[in-house]
Amino acid sequence: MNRILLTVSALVKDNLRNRFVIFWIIIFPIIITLLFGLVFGGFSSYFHVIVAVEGDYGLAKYLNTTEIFQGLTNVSLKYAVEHDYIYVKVNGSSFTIYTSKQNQEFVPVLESVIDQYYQKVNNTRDFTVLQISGYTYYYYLISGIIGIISLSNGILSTIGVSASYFRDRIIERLATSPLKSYEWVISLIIYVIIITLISTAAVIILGILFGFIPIIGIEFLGFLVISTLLFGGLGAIIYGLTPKDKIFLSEIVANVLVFPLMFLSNAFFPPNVYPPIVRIFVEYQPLSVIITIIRDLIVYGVSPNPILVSIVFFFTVLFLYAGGRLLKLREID
Amino acid sequence: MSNVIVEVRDLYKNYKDKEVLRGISFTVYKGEIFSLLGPNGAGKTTTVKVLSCVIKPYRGEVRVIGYRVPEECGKIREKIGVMPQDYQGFLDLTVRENIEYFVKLYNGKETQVDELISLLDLEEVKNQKLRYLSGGYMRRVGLASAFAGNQEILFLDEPTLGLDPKARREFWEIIKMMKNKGVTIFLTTHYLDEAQKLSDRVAILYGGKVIKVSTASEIMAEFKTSNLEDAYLELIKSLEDGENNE
Repeated sequence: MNRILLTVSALVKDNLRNRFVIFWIIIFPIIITLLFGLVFGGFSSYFHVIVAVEGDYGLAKYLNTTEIFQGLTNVSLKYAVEHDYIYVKVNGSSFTIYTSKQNQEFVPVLESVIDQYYQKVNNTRDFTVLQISGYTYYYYLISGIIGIISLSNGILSTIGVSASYFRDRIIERLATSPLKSYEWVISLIIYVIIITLISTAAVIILGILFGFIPIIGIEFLGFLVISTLLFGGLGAIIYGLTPKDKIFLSEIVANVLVFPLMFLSNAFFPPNVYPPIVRIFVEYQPLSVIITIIRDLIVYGVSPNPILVSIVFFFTVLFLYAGGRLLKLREID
Repeated sequence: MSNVIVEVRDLYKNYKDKEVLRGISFTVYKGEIFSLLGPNGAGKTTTVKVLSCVIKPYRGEVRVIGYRVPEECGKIREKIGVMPQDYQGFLDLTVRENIEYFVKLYNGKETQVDELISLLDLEEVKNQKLRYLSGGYMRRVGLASAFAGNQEILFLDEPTLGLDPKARREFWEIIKMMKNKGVTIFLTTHYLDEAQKLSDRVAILYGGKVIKVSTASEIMAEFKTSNLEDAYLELIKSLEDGENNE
């Protein structure tokens, strides 16, 4: 245990004093949060304002023909609130519109679209607008960024530390020392978890400044660790399978993997804003699944889908086992 | 008690289909500086990796400090120190922190950190990050880290590679000082002048085989040369000529 703590301490000090590492684990998530938050935070639904309609499927269909609204049906009010949709309840010629403060500016436009749709049917319409406390884009964004942190710290840090220590011959030196391979792997895992917690804390603090109120419970922290381990295990596999005389390839593969996963995910926008050809990938790729679970925990405070959690847990164990074996310090243990 | 600290008998090592070591044998005695010489790809680093319990021997018998490789590597690792070729260390830790890490890894006493800093004349740079050190100081830190547990034997793989002449000579003095403290030094080097100046005995590795184990002066006498480098070149040339004639 002493050797693990000793090695974790060395890893943390050595890496957190490096400006490049600080950029990736703190500055980069903050920049990306600010960038997306400031650009899309005020008018997140610019492209499509999602309107859940209860009581008239035809209206939902009509909304889909507009440039600005996307109509959905079979959506509960609770779900609509969680996802910052406008919710329209149709009862004859009476319309109750539930909207967050953020989406309120779209209500007049929505009313006139509804007017157009019903012109042929009925001339008297009665609108009631109720403002509800919805979730702003920042809730969506911050929870997405936390998922990205688990991805980037998991894969990039595992590979980055392993590859740079291989190049600087530290791995070779440790291989001849009494440090056991499992002690090295555990130390590296603990380091990756520590930096993930630091990055997450930085982003959450920034989010709080924008009105984000996180629900931080043991389930959220536990899942954050699991998702980091999942991607860390994947990073270890990539590093372990890379020929050591071409170790730079592991870093290239990591970047090639991380950036598409990051931008083709539900981290910044819901899957329905993506073109249909990539929508299924965006919805079901591993990072999106993890972000969905993280969102359930830190934003909505609801229990995530147990099947999704089980799948993530299964792959975490699998990747950690395989990655741990590939990260071993030496042939002889 | 035996004076032998390393014993290698008929050692073979393959990497996939390539036979890197082809039945090498030699003995290293306690307290000596033993240099392993040979051209690139001769198997010097592979030999060090087998002796330091990083890779498994394919065949043959290897004992280090009386313990068998690979069966008793746990005990061996506690008692050996290794400085890999081109060792950089934890670049953003200070000199002191780097040495301290290895001292604690070998369960050494805290006081040993300052002893090593003093021994290797690192006082003036002890609070500097490794990233900002010169090559000469970097190697001293590597050596201090290798010696962190008061090891009985140090394996130094090309320790002066890339150093300027002054730094090399300073490093030689440190190695001699280590020997005077009773530490056995197992050295691999490309620099024949270094091997001649430092070594009690040398082994020459060629094509995965040990072709000569002797003192530098005996080898020089055999080839009637005034320095080890000329003798070595004569020996290698005769081997290459022999191969070409086959």
